[in-house]
Amino acid sequence: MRKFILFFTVVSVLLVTSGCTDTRYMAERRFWHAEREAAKIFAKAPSGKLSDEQLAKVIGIYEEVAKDYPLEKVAAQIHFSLSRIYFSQGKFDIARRELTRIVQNFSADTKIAPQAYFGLGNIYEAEKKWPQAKEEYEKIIDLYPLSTLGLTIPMYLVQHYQQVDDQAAKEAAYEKGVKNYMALIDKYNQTSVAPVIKDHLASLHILMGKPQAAIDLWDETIKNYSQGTAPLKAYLSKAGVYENQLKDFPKAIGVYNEFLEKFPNTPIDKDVRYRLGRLYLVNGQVDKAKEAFYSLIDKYPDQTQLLISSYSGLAQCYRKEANTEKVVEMYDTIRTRFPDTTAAMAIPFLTAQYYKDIKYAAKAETAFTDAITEYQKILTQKKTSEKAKDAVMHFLALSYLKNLQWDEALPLLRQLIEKHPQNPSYLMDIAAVHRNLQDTDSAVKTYEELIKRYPNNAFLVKFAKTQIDILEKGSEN
Amino acid sequence: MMVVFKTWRDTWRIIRKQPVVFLPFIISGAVSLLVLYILFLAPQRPIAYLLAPPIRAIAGEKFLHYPFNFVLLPNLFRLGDLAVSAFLGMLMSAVSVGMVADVYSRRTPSFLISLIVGFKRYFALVLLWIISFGIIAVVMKFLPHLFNLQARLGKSAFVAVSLCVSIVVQSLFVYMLPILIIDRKKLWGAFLENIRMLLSRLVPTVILVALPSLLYVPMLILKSYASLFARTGFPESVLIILAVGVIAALVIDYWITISITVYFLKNKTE
Repeated sequence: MRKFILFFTVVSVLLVTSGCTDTRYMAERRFWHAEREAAKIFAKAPSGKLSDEQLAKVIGIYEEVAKDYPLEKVAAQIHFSLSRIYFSQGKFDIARRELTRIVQNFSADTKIAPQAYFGLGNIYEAEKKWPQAKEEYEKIIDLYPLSTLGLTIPMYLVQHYQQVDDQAAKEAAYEKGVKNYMALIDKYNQTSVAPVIKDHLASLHILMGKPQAAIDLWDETIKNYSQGTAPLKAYLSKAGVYENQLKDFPKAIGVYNEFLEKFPNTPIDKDVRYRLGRLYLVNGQVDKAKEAFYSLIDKYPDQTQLLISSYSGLAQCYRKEANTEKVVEMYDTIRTRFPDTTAAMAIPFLTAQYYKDIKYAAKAETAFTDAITEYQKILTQKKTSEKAKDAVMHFLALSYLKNLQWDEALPLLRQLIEKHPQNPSYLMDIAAVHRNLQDTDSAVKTYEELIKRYPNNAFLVKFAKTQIDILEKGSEN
Repeated sequence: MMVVFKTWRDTWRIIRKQPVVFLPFIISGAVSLLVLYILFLAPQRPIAYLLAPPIRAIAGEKFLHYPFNFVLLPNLFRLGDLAVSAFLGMLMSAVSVGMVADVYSRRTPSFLISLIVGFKRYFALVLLWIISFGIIAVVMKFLPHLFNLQARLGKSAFVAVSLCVSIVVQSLFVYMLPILIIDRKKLWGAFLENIRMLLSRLVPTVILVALPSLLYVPMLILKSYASLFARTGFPESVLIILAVGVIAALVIDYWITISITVYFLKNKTE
């Protein structure tokens, strides 16, 4: 009995103390509590901006954990976070120091170390020190060639030269990237990594506007690998290039059909079939498109989104055949089968818009009026959720615009901008309304607001400036 | 109701006279707490070498990290507790029944002798546990579908309904243990005798089982929300809630088992 009690006591003590020795777990615990403490400080900061004192406190909280557990992964997380904080403050040297610590302590970790080197490169880039940045990026290729970053850095370098419009450097980077990938393919030829490397090389070819070279690589993968995800990805990438880059829809259709024949029951079967349906439609093969959409409806009766997309696809098929009755039938099906979806809410507007497109003016006017009445009714109903209300407001605004009811559209669009400040289309619609009301000043002001709200969107800024020029020239004349 | 109070009074007297009858439940409770602690240590070395692979395979890597290990802990412990209950809990209850019978017959209770008697009926005890657990599991699986209960009642009320089902099933087999250990009947004979006793003394039996079981309710509600506590500022509170649950269950089960045994012995001698 005594021996049993002694044994039990020893085991209990060992168990109790073992709960205090795993540094990984203890580090995670400390880090989690540190994050909570930091979050409290962030929550107190007015409009999310920390004072110097608060920032120093947050940094201190994290540094304490990193100091106690320097070799645990949470320490790497902390150094990354601190680097980002110092970077946002413009303290590049200190930001670099944090990442250097990661490189020193986690050089053997093929996920963490490449990210740290990449961060170092980003910091040099922000300081406009491209040669030093390039050096850091190339270290990733040399030291961690098979890591995710190691395989994508050649493309990153090419993209950089593309952005700065340096053709010679871009070509040189491309040649070096191809050489690097080919060396890796030779080294790992008989392994499962080879198709992954080929995929990256194919992406590099695409970047350089050489789609056929990419297609040849994917064909190699398809030929040499019949199992796993590699051939699936190769087929889809190949079809994507034919569809999006080369606009060779018959070839894209051929590739998708070959994929479906070779891999009949993959989880992406429905996505590929849907893609095929859309391609048939774009390629003018309306009967085939209808066949594809109807087969999806039969095969996947429980997949709501897919069914909605398929019925929408069928509506487009019948539009091409100028079969108004069937178009309306497809829209009605979406509405009755899926009444609580955004797609169903769009139907009154889409139906009216369809009548307008086929120049059936009388029907279009009635349909827009009915759509407006229906949307107004939905907005007054208490059971309508906030998300549904947003969608309905959007379609109501569109209905007003299409029905030339500018005064009704304006306040609604203003409401939508307040709710969705990240969506520039509402401001663009408001500008269009002012233009239709011949209110040039308001239109110009709206375009100026667009530039002010989205200064980093080069396309929008250019568009808005162009419209302002046109309006100002028009008012001068 | 008087008969119930008298039984409880006699139960209290036995406990005061021979507190050693509590020992089997202490052993059962200690093992449960040990299982809980080992499961708590699952993400930490060296226990992680053993438990991390199955947890990773079934639940995912996330639950091997702080504080998500506390989100999974109630479910893990439920499984561990079931195993302890099946393979040790029933045996310890049987030992306790034997010891109470000794005290009632004015003999000195012997843990060892009662353990040997319990071991001899081990297969029957485990089978009894499997049958009663199986009935509860089947009823709880189909009851919500029949009445769409969970959706309509909410978590707390659903816990209460689960407890009621548990009380009913426990009452159905409540005399099996004393009959198996004290009368030493075979399983089927014990079941028939159990039903006969239950039907002839239904109300006091149900009260003896149900009233102490009501003390489970706050613990069960707390345990059902345990994984939410993992997301608070003190995730370790999950461990404390589960440990308190073990102790509460220990005390309640102990009280029910001994009072039912005392009631059985009283009616046997009458």
